[in-house]
Amino acid sequence: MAADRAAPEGADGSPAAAAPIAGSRGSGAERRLALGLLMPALAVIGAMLAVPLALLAFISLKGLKLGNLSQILRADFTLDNYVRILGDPGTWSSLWISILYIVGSSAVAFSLGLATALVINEKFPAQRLFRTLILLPWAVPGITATIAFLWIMQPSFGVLNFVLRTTGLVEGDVNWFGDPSLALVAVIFPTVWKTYPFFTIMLLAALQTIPRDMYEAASIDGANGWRAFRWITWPSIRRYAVVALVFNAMYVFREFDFIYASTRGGPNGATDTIAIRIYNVAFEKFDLAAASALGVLTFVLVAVSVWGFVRWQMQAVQR
Amino acid sequence: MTISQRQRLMSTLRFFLAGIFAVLLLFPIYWMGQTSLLPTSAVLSRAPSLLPDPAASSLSAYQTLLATYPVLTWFGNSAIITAGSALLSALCATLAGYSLSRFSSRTAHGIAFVLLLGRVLPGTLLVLPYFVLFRWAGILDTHVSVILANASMITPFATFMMKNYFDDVPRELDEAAKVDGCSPLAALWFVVLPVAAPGIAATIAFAATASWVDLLFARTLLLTPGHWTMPVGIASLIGEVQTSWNQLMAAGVLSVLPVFAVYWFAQPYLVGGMTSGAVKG
Repeated sequence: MAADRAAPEGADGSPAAAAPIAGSRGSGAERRLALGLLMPALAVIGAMLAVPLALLAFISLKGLKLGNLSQILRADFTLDNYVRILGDPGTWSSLWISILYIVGSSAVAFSLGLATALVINEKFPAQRLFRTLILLPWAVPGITATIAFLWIMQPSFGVLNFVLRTTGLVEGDVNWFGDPSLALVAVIFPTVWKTYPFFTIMLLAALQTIPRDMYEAASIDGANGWRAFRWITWPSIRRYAVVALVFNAMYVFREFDFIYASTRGGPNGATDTIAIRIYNVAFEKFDLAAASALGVLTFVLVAVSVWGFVRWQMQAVQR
Repeated sequence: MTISQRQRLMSTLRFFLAGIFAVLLLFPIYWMGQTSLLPTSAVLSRAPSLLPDPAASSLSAYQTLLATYPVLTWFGNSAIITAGSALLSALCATLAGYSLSRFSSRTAHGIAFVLLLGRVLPGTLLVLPYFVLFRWAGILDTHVSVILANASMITPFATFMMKNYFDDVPRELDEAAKVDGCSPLAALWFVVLPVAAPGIAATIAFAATASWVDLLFARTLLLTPGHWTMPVGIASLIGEVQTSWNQLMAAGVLSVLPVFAVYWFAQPYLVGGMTSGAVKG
């Protein structure tokens, strides 16, 4: 069955050798069936991805801020929206905030996820229960996680400030979401809580591919703890870790719920990521054209990144 | 220190660390539940009690919430939209996943790229043309619009999940059915699908969870408060019940109950699906 699946490209990787096989297998009917089965998915994705993206590009080239479809179609073509977006310092500050948000939340979530995975990879009481619970935050709606953290981090009556006051770490009340210098840190809290289990699950799967006897052999050579991690564990899980980090970065980049429900990009634009900015420009300022131009630029950025990632992944698989 | 002493120490240390991680993991949910049971007079406290007080607990926040806001309507809307999105995307994903698993390995990479792209684009970018298109098509402010938007977001990843499940179903099964005179579609329906049933269940569970939690599409495409879903309703409560945190937390608890129920049954399959979709896909 493996040979069958690899047939179109040739089992030995040479397309020429396999070509006659692919041609002789009455592939007409099979190909029609293959395409037919793909149709519903392609229809949904085409109608909801290709058409909207084309429309987005179209709106971004029109000199009309707001209007219905026929008005948009009639308006004149212009590059004005791109000039406005690229000349706006707010665009660049949003890009910077997106980067800070991704790096900050990924670093904490990754460390926490790795630590959890290392602990629950070994035997201890209640291990099974813990493994069942670990993905729980993933199932919690983003809005629900946000209100829970809004309450926990509420300045006057929140339990976090209460603990910080009681332990003497802070004097007064910390205004987590309201202080422009703290708001980005504040939205990272729910983000990390909801994303770190993903790292735990991914890294746990990676850890379980490492043969036990490697550690036993290392232990005989006197390598334990940090040295075992540095020379055995980390090299074995590094590839998984990178994939998990890339996936998480993509998730955080498109994140909407936490920021919209807590700060809406404020205060003073402190949490105004690209994803939030597109939304606010379109639905708060009602400037569809500028939002579309920003959307198209974001699309290009994402498409190039995904293309690079897929290529890198395929090369890594071939190696 | 002998080896067994060392092992016992490590095991204890691990249990202790796992305890800290468990608190971290569960505290926000616990605190939400604990606050939702407080009477309004006890909510705004400078020194909140970390442990629940059974004597002072009451369901009054839930009663007030249900009496003041159309929470049950939001809940019902969420259920309709979730069912529609989950079924539509699971259907598309099952057929497409089977096709990718069995027939086309050459085009699979190209399709994989498109699917991945669809998955990582910010929803805020897509909701903008959706708004314009749906208004033009006359389905803005309907459940159908949100179902279509959710399905388009979920189908790509669900397709990966299903492809991975079908990859684990031996091809000999399809071949044997065909030898017995089944058409390819009949082979899929009568032979392959029953074997892949756990995978389909996991995909439906994944799709249902992903659409239940959606805030962006429902918030933007549903204009009438009577059409809102649970997340949109909760978002609208944030500003409104400025000090009624117990009611807000009660709404939060209601919003997680169904996903926890699904999660409890589907969790083993979800873990497999998530990691395989990410690692192999």
